[in-house]
Formats: sequence, structure tokens, C-alpha cells
Amino acid sequence: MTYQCFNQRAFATFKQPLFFGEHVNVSRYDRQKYPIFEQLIEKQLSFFWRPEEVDLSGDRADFAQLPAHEQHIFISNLKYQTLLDSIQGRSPNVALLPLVSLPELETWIETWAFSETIHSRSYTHIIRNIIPEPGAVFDDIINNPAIVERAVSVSADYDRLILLGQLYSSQGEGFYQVAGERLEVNLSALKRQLYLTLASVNVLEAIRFYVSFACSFAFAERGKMEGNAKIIKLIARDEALHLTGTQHLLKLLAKGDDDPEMAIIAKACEPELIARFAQAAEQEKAWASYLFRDGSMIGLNRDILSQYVDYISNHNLQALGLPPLTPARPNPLPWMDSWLNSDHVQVAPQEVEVSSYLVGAIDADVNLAELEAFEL
Amino acid sequence: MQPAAKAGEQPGAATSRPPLPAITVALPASRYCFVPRQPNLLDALRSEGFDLPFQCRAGYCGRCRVQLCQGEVRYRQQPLAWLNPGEILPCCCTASSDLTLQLPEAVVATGSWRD
Repeated sequence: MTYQCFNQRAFATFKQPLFFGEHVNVSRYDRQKYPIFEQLIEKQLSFFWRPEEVDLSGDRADFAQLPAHEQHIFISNLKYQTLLDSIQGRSPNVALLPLVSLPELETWIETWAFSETIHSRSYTHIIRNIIPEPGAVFDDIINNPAIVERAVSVSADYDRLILLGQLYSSQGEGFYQVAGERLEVNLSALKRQLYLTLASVNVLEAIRFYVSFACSFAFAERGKMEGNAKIIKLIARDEALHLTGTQHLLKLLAKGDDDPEMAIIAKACEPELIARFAQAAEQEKAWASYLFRDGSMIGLNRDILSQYVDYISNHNLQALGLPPLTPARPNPLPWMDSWLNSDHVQVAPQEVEVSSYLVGAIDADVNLAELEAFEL
Repeated sequence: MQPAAKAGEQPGAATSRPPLPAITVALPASRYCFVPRQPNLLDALRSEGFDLPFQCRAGYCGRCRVQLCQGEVRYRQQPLAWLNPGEILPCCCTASSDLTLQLPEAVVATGSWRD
């Protein structure tokens, strides 16, 4: 059935599955089939921040004094994060929105993608601050083989889901020849590709981002590029929430209460999900070699970063109830936790839920005996 | 409100807090028991040398998840993170009874805890 921006059929909104039911019509949040997505939206909105709030004036001088190989590490990381958030700022919307059937999930996806666009804006803010000609950095993202290689693997599942979704929506089930490839399009194939895409996104949020975070925080551990680290802390807080979002989706679909066929598909996809974690771990280790090709930095080198990749891969597989890839080893970067700690994110008092700002929270129960001592 | 001191108790005993529930950590070949000094379970475990990872300390990231083998915990607010059966988030819950926990292998593999 072709996509409709406003589905004119009357249907039971709250009996729809997460995906592949009726297209959403009324954006309503009075009730939710899955309240978790409404709660994620609320949390994400409470995190709202703007890159301009972070002072980067110290970073310009720091960057100028970094040795060339450390400048390479810093800039390469920013390029990679720019790539990841370019993908994440649009792809959840383009790929997932036409398939969603519940208003709370639709809005969570939009809220999630919007926060990724803030991350993209913050990279421009950072790069503009430290490089006289920021255009050269952005141009290199699509010319640099080490980065392009990752773009392909990060976006491949999204692209396939978008293609299958477009064919299914416009042509219906069947076999189609597209760019020399014979594609079988049916609902089961779409569900399978959806599950694998969510797995890829989970890997991106669980492993790929954290490799870049480690490098940013390693600079800040030495008192360098601290403005950048403040922005990365805000990004890490958002990403932790996005990771929770994809974990919920993967596990809810795998449970099968929502769509029994999805449980079978999820089980069948388990080896491929694990393979995506393993593949990303290898790619991130290759990326670590590229980052440190001209030399290491104090506190971080290729081997330590590779051990961290293994550590977070295992940790996030276990979060999904899956076996680890490698034998358990302790966190090689224990200082990461204090940088990731969202408790230490500085926020303006009016933007957090402090009791002094609660509206209508005045206790109106007054015991008149308490006033007896007053005389007018 | 604190209960009145019973006869024979030392002065000041009535105002001291009752001890927090005991925590037992199931290790690969043994058990480590302690009585926490702080109600926050994550802080209690970390102060005993168990380097549990954490990030949000508010129940939405799920990084500090551990397996609850025995006992009960209470959340002030239901956490947002996905929890597999038997998992708890020590960053945002308190023990309502004595607990037995199983920590991730990577944490007990450190050997930094005092056995």
C-alpha cells in the first residue's frame, strides 16, 4: 500500500504493531501502546542543548600547539563523527518513518533524529573555531578512503531498507531488477531488513561513537581541547539515550508480543546481528590504526583503543542478552566513566527539574495553630 | 521518625541509622559479602573495588546493569533502560532486603576487589 501522509482510514490506533501496520494518521499521545517511547521523547527534550552554549575559545590555542600527529587524530575523529551524524540525522526519518505504525514511536524517531542534527551542527561549530578554512575538512570526508569505507558499512543496511520499502510501498510484493540485482520484495524480507538495520544502528551507537568519544576525552584528560570535550559529553548523553531506544526496539521485536513473525525473524537474524558487532569491532580497530598511524598520544594508542573496542562490544552484546565476542577483560580506559558521567553535565538551573522551579508544587495545607505566635 | 531507644541502649543509639541490607557478590569461585555504607548500590559496589561501568546514574543508559540473584530492590522512578530478566540498575535503586548479585565478568575479572 502506498504511503499516505495522513491515513484516512479509521483503525484501532493502539492495536497496531510497532511497524508494518497502518500508516499513522493522528499524532496523538493521550494513550500509548508502548509508553517507553513517550518517556524517551520526554527525556530527550529535557536534554536540549545548543553548541553555541559551549565556550571553545581555549581550544583554538590548544589546537595550534598540538603536534601534527595529534592534530590528525583530532580532526580525523571529527570527520568520522560528522559522517556518523550526517547519516543518523536523516536516515531514521527516511528509512523508518514510512514503516512505523504507532504515533509514540514515530515521534520518538523524529525526536531522536533531530538531536543528531544538533550534533552535526556542533561539529561545524568546533571545526569553524579551530581551522581557518573549515570547508577543506568537510570536503575531505567524501574523498578520504578511510572514512568512505566506514560510510559504506554504516549506511548499507539503511539504504537496502529504504530501497525495499520504496518498492514494497509503490509496487507491492514481487521480484524486481534494480541496478543489476534481482530483489525479492515481500513483507518478511522487509521485516528482516528492518531488524538488521536496527542492529546496525545499535552497533553504531554502541561501538562506533564510543571510539571517537575515547579520543576526545583522552585530549581533555591532559587539559587539552576541553571545550570540545564538553560538547562530546553532551553528545554522549544523547547517544546513551538513543542506544537505549534501539535496545528497546530490538528486544520488543524479538519478544514477538507485538508481531509474532518478528520473533522468528529476530531469532534467525541473531548470528547476523552478532556478525555486525564483530565486523564493526574489526573496522574500528582498523580505524584506530589509521588514527595513530603517525604516532600515539599520551594515554591512548592503537592497542589500548582496540582493547576498549573489545570491551564495549562485549558489554553491549550482553546488554542485548547475547554472548560476548572475546574473553572478558577489564575496562582498559577506566577514566572514560568520569567523562561519560552525565551527572557532571553542567546545565542551567531553569532547564532541570529542581523542586524550586516546580509549578503548582506549593503545599496548601496550613495548620492555623502555627500562626498563633504572630500578632498584628 | 526514629523509634525510641530501648532500655539499656547507649545514649545516641536511637539516632543512629539501622544498618543497610547486606550485599553478597557471587564471584566465580567464592562469595564476597559486605554491608554498604551508602544506600546507593552503585556507589556501594564501586567503593568495595568493583569497577562497574556507569554513565547516566539516572537509569536511562543501562551501563551499570547487574544480575540480581536473590533479594529485592526498589526504584524511586522506573528506569528507562531496557532490562533483561533478573537485571537491575544499581545506579538508581536501593536494596529493600539483603541482596545477592552477579556482576559482569569484565568487572570481576579485574581482580581489584578485596577477596
